[in-house]
Amino acid sequence: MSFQIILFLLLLILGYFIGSYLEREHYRSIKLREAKYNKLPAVASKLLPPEAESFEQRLVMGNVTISVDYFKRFLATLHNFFGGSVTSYETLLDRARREALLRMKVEADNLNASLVLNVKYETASIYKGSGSGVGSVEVLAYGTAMIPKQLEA
Amino acid sequence: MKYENPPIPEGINTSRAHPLKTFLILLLGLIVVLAISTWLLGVGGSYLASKIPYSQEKRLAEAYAQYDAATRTELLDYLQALADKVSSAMQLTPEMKITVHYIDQDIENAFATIGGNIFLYKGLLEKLPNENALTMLIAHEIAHVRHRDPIVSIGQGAAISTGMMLLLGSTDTGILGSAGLLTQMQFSREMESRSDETGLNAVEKVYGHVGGALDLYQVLDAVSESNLVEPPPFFSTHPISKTRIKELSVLITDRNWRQDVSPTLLPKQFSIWLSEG
Repeated sequence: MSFQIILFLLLLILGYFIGSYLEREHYRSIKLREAKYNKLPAVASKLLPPEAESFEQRLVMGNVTISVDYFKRFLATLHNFFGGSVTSYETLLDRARREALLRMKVEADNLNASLVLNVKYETASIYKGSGSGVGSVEVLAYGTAMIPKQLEA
Repeated sequence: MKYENPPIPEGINTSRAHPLKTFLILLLGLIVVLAISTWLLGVGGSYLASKIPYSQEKRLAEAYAQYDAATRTELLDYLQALADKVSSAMQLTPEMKITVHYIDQDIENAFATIGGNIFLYKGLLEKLPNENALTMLIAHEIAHVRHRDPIVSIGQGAAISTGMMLLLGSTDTGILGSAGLLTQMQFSREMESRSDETGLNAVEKVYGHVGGALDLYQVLDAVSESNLVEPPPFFSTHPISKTRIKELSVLITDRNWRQDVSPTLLPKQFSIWLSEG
């Protein structure tokens, strides 16, 4: 019994410190890359621009899976008990969406796209229903990359 | 057409509250909810349990029949005779029949449980200096039976464990389920003090004085001092022996009971009986 309590506290403390360190680092990297790829707009519009004929269209996507740490999970259990917003999962989903979008932009950038249209997100929770397993969230961002056609030489 | 992604302001999709602050608030809230519900369940459970008819309690206690000694020993006869004397002094109803069990183990303990079953351990009996202290011990345990403390305690434990199981999902019910019937019973300090008083009252009726009765608490005091880890009085369910002696001394003075009479000795063969079981 006491062993279980010690293990639980240890996981909680480790989860908190390692989890918040990784989160901080992730946000720093996200902000840097967001600034870097800001030149490549990604919009939700479905409409093709009038000059679409001079673009090649290609599907691009970015996918990420982020796991929740033990501390966040326990906090979410407490949130579940009382109701209200599950604030501990908010940063997790925020990071996953932004990371997925960034990865999509990286792919578009590699194709020399100048714009990504019709951007959409899909989310899925992994380990759903596994009970005591620590859950993770998967986010897929996809869109239509608009690649300017190379002028024939 | 010109498209652009302006930089997204931070903190729109995430809460600013520090996770540790949220954690502390929620945890404290949970503890308060659990404490209040435990208290309510405990009060409700013990109230309902006190309404259980004694005949039903006896049916629950049938499991203790396995502790009935195969043969009646002189020791058991002697202890049972003392218990019967105390029972009639306490004017127990005939239905509340007290059964004394002796356990040949070096544990300084004695307890009363449902169905009027009283368990006395060798470890404690061999430390008692006279018959009056032994009678006080038996009277204290019989008083628990008379006050219906064992069934109340079980009802309280069962209500709390069932409630917690519903509330939290997975609590080990084994602790209070079946094993709890035997030794996990916890009497409150009020129950103990009340039983001390009723017990001493019965001892006075049996002997006409209370000389030697308080020697029991001196023994209990010595026992708890010899144990290296003594629980602080607030957490220990038995009020510390010095407090009990003080409370009972006040009672003795109030009632003008005689205390200066030398106590009855234990039978000569008592220690031999104890080792024979």
